[in-house]
Order: sequence, then structure tokens, then C-alpha cells
Amino acid sequence: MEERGFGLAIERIPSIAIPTKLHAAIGWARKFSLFVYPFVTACCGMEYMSVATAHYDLDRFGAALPRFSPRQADLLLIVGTVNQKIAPVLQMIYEQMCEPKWVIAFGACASCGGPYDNYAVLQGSDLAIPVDVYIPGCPPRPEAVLDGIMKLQAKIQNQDHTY
Amino acid sequence: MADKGKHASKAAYDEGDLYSKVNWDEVPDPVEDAPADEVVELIKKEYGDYVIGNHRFRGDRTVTIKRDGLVEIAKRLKDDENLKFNFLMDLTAADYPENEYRFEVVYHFFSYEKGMRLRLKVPLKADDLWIETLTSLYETANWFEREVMEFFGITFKHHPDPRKLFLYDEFKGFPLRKDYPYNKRQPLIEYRDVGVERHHFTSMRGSGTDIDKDNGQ
Repeated sequence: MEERGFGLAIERIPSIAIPTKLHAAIGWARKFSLFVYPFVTACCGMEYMSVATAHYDLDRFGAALPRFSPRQADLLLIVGTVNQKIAPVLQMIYEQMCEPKWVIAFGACASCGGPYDNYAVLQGSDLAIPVDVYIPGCPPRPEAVLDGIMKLQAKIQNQDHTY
Repeated sequence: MADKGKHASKAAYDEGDLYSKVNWDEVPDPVEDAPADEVVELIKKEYGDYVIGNHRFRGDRTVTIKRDGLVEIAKRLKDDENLKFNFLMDLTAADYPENEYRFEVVYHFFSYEKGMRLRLKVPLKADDLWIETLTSLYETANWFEREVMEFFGITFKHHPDPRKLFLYDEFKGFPLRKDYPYNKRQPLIEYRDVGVERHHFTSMRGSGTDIDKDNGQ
């Protein structure tokens, strides 16, 4: 009986233990539990709705649940044109988010000002806050947005995480 | 009557010297029998002292008037039983830097009952840049006038709420004037250093780089 029980334990250990590093495990957990704060200012919002709802379904990437409070979110989606007037608001929202946090510039305007080279438009939201992933397009196709989410997930997986 | 109106308007333009560059006889007017020329005739008859000129382009009538007659004429247009211009569709301004009367405030009226449109234009000199508000007649003039105030710097006297509508209070200058550099920015935030100068690949025209450098971009 004792031999039999010992043998069972030996057999089971390799099948339940996953060799990994703690950073990689935390990255794996975080990249599939993104809580999105959509900062929607312009027409790209339509494309965000398309991505977030059933047709393209951000839920498959663990980023389904928009939190309309920055304090509960860890992914800031800047969706649309950022004006000089709203840039301080964007900064405040970014500062209200808890660490760890990531930012995606969604579309041409948020990335570099897009077609608007005038007195009102900020030439890229990274002039106000740091941005992790830029998604080009006017507006970007939902596939491009999913690609951007996957790029961000790869980045999160390989980051050094604090905990 | 249409012919008579045309000649009268041509003379009026020459007299007012506002549209002397345009030969209105060559401007096509496909709607020869457009209704309600009598509106123009009425204004010319009863408020002749204020009328500088008028013209009709593709069926739309325009009357250019002096600043002092605006409220009086607008009130008549709104209250007259035969006109009832009860809808101020649009109120905007235009900047012609080469003209003696540099600015023009443009009013678009529409009559629901008669299905007529009428455009009033009021030329203003740059050194005497004010006009009376129309908010006493049309509620909708409120925000239109605030917009014109902040973008063109035209003062609307007796406006009930002359704050800025779109821009922030720190903004200096009037961005829709022709002499405002099109991409002169007045940021409220301190820009982060992103290592590139953005306007090089956002500007199709390639000008204005010095302006951005002044703003630290």
C-alpha cells in the first residue's frame, strides 16, 4: 500500500507543476485581464463600439469590460481627436488611473493629430501622456484594433512587473 | 421687374463699392422667376437709407445693409405677417483683409410659412468692430454670436452672455481671421519630449514650422 501511494505522488507532480518565472506568470495574468477606460472624443468611437461588441468581441482578449471610472481601469484607450482644450483633462484621467496602466492611441488623430494641423488640435496624444501602442487608420479597421491589443498583450507579457 | 431689380442692384454695388470686383451680369442665375423678390423691394423701399446693395445668386437673395439698421430690419422681417422670417438658420462672419470693410457678418433667415430664404450681410470696418446683438429677437443667435465673437473678434453689443463658447479662456487672438497663422497653437499643457517634430509629417503645406518651435513643439 505504501509503495503504491508513493508511486502515485511521483506520477502526479509533473502533471500539475508548470515551470515558469514569476514575472512571466504575472504578465500572463495581467495581459488577459485588461480593464478598458474608453476616452472617446470623436468618430473613432463608432469603430470602438464595433470592436467592443459581439462582431469583433474584445472579450476574447480579456478586455471586454469598459470601466467608466479611471480608478478601476488599467488600459486607457484614447479614441479620437485630442484638442488643446481637452489635453489637461486627458492628463488628469491618466494620473487618476492606478498602476499598472497602459495607453493605446486609437486612430490617426490620437496618434499624431491626423489630418488636423491647425490651432486647436494636439499633434499626437503622446505629447500629453506616454503611449504604449499606436493604431493607425482613419478610423482603424476593427482588425487593426485587435492587432493593437495583441501587440499590447505581447508587451505586457514581456514587461518587468511590480507587485 | 426682374430686369429692373438687376440694374438697380448693379448700381447699388457700384455705389457701395463693396463688390466692384465681381461682374454680377456674368454670374449665372438659373432661377429667373424666383419668388419673393418683393422682400428685397420692401426692404429697399422702407429702409432705403440702410441698404447698401443687393443681389441674387442662383435664386438666393442677399441684401447688404448698414449696421445701424440691422435690428430694425430683422424685427420687421420676423413680425411682418406676409414675411414671417421666424428662423435664424445661420449667423457667421467672413474676413476680407483687402477690403476697406474688412469683416462681413452674415445672417441667414428662413420663413417656414412662406418657404423663403433671405441673407443679410453687414460690412464692418476693422477699427470699428461691433454690431448689435439679435438675441432679443432670436434665441438661437446667442451661441452663434458667441462663436463669431471668439473666432473673429467682433463684439456683439448687449449680448446677454458674452463668454467664449468653444475655445478656452487662455486663448489669445482670433483663429479664423486670415492673419492668424493656421497652425499657431496655444497649448494648455507642457508638451512631453517625443523626439520628433510632428508638423513635418502632418502638414501638407510645409509652412508654419517656426510657429511650432515658438511653442516648444
